[in-house]
Amino acid sequence: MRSAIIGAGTAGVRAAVELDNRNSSVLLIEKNFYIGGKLTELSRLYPVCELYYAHRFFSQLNDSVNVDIMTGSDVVNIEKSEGNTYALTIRKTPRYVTGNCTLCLECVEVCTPQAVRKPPFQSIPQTVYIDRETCGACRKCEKICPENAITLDEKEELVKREVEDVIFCTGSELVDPEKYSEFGYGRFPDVITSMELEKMLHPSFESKFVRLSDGKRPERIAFLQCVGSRDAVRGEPYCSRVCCMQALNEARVIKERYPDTEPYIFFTDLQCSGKRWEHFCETARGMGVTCIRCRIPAVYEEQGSVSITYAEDELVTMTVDMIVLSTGIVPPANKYGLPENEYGFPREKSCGLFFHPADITESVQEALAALSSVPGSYSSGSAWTGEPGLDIVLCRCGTESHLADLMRNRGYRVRELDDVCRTAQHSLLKQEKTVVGACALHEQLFLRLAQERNSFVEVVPLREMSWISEDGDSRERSLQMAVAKLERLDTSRITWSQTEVFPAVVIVGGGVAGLAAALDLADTYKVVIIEKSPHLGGRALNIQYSLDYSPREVAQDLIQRAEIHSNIEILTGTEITTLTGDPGNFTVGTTRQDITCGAIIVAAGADEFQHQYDHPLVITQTQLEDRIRNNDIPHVVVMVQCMGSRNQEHHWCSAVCCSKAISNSLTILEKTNAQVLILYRDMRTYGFQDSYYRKAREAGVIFLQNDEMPEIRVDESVSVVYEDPILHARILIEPDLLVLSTGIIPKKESRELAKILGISLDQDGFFRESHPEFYPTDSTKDGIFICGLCHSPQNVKESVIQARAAASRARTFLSSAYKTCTAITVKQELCTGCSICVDVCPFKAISLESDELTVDMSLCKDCGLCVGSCPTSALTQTTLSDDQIRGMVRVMEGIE
Amino acid sequence: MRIVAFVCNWCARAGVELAAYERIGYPDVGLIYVNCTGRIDVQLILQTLEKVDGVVICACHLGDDHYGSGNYKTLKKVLLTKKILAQLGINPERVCLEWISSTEAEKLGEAVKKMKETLEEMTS
Repeated sequence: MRSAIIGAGTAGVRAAVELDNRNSSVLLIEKNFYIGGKLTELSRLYPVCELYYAHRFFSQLNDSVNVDIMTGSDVVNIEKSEGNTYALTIRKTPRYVTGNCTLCLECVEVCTPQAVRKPPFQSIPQTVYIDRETCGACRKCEKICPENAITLDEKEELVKREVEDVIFCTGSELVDPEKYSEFGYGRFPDVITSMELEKMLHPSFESKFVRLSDGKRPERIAFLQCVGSRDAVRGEPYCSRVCCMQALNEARVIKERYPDTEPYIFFTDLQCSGKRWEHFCETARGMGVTCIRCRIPAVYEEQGSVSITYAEDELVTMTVDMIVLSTGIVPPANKYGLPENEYGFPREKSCGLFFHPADITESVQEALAALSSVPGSYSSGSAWTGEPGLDIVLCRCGTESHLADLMRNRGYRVRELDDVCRTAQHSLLKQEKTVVGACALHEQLFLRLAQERNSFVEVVPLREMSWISEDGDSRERSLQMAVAKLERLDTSRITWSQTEVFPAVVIVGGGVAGLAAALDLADTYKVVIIEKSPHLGGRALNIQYSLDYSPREVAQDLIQRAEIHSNIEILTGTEITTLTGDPGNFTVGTTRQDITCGAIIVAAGADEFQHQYDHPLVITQTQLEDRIRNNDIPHVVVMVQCMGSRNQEHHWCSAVCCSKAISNSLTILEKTNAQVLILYRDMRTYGFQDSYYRKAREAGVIFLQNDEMPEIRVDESVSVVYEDPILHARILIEPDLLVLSTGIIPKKESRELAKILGISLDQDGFFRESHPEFYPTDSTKDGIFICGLCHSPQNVKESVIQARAAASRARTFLSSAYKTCTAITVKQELCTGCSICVDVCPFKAISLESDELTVDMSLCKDCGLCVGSCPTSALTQTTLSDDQIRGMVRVMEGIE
Repeated sequence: MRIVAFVCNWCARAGVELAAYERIGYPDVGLIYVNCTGRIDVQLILQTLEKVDGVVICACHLGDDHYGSGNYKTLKKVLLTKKILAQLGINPERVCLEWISSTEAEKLGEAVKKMKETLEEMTS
């Protein structure tokens, strides 16, 4: 195995999938008996729910030829050898169950101490496992197992493996709420944690959404934020980044499912700085989630209910049915001695929660970034096509024996397999069309095999269906529906096309993101950076100060490395004019020359909001840097946050302004005795940046909060009117210098660039990613990736990580021939030119020109919205035509 | 009672498969998976109702659509279909739309059960 990934949570699984797609061998090591980590406990993701990817990833990894998965495995020692390889010693705890397990669950039913457990949905290995510590050694499970799958005498093993690279994704834990006895966790049954609430909302867990005290549905719940976080005394000093969104998410889910419930969130600052998080927050609040700014000091119990007291002009005591503690993230156990930062989080080769408090998008980006130099091994695809005809393959698991004969009697060719799990993969599909009656676990395998062979497969999960119904008729009917679907599949209308990829990458934008992406790819591919301005470095070059690093230095280092790299060609003063060709073989037209490439990374940056005040005393944070350098700081400096952000015109949070204001304030106070006042709405110094917020307070910066923006008066003099929410008094401040924290806005030219490239922008004007959590750097067109400020407001360090994630995705894309099949076909003679399909397509894949309708397969995602909107049936979804649907419906028609 | 359910391949399908995995189950229903419920148009629902008794459409929650906003279009089409059915003298409750997220495993079963009960009442 080339790489080892330690930890199979969100980051580890995503990394393993990426390496599998790159045909690079990987050893995935997980200490639990199943993969997925916390992802298997969540009931809904934010800002968009993509939980379904988890199941597809697990299924893909299960049957991957590149990935070796070791569960119940703990890496006890890592040694780096001279040859630059890592020798791992792994302790394998026995699972006590073999692959013969069919999940009939008879052992689970018979086990009193509940030591035998089933893994989470679709997780792998998909067999039960035994927690030997809880086990009472009665051996009932062993006796009752119909497949003889239980092996209680299995022994612990010590295994040695050697790999070339290791990534640590072992995650972290949440704070133990009993540390905070004032919240009553453990004393009051109706005080629970955020993760416990997730499990109540998830059907795989026993707990339901009811009060633990009396089993009644809660009518009013209160979320208490920052438990264990933002606490330099008893907890962790940093902000745990995700808890505000997590609480909003859970409250929103509760409101959706139980509309009469009243959720309240008691917060200190609402940390909604991620992409489209502000919109999510607005939506949740619009649904009836009430957010109150107060850090609740304690929870009381009276007459069987819990209550809290907070101040909103006067003291209010609120009785609630349930309290949810938003527990923060604690530093992970760093047992491999990796160098850590002052908060106890490892700095090298680590991603996700092991690296810092992170959400799913960041964990995925860090995982992808960590792999950006792992080479792919090129697979040029096959031209093998299955023989025409339809095959039915039935696996004996979950299939009644009569089903095979039944289908044969109806004239179909049927093959029976003892076990798909144990059959050689290349012998599974023989015909062009195959209906597979097996378990749901192997669906990704069959889809991959079919795609490689230009064939079509339909998987019917007969085993899973047998779990919920004794009625064999419904299984037979599902099989018949799948057969009807494939029978009516008109393969004559489907053409497969394959493009060998050109090993070069064009990067649009020579700022830090573009440079970081270039450096990650240039060892393998020719890279051309196209930069509009005369110089590299983008915005970061003009920013000297940030909290604990210098953006300018980061930019200068990247510029230096890029300029001397022999494989990187830099074209400054150059703009993109056209894009032709297909993914894998693009021709990028520029103002200078045409460039052929296989993939494109868009790192075009963004602009700064321009405030309209024209007065020498009103400046921006960037302009303040100049004044600081010249020691030209007057006595009273007032900073106003959120200029041009979080308003009607620009809904989003610009993410960097709060930490920038604090950074500049601290620098000012290092050099002068100035009085700094920061007028803010929420102090979004998320993650480790929060310590600097504390430092600023301790240094004497005055923070004045109000959800509304202060009034700025600029005529001959400058003044600011701030309304204090506690005093209800309007305060006039006359600063010697007014610094406006202006936000990040998309460049006006983005629209034109998006049009040239054929990719989409989102409603805010930033480039739209295809899937915010698991494919955050993929644009809406195959082969084109996005990163940096043009994707969303973020700081320089985050831009670099995202750029490397984009580079990683580009590398995977360039590791195999680009293949498409005509998902949507057009009958030109039926098309009336109404163009509804053109408007309806979410990816602008359809164009109508000179009376001809064409569908661009590099953009088409096969959603079928066009087909569903066409009034004349001129468009057909080739793999699920109306005819096929009607055929499936006829099967249902025939039943009594 | 013959019910056909059009289920979107993403959130809704995960919810349906979870129902099987957790043994929650659902009554007998013909499942047709589509990439996006926006694929289904009014004519298709009407043609399906010519052959079976009820149609359940299971889509992702608004905002969670894998492709962006297809489910908004589904909502419009279902509302339109109900109006057309009413004008044709067919009970509009023969079509229903359910928003199913990946962990709402019980929703398909509940929707199908409710529709069967409604249909049985209609014909008794």
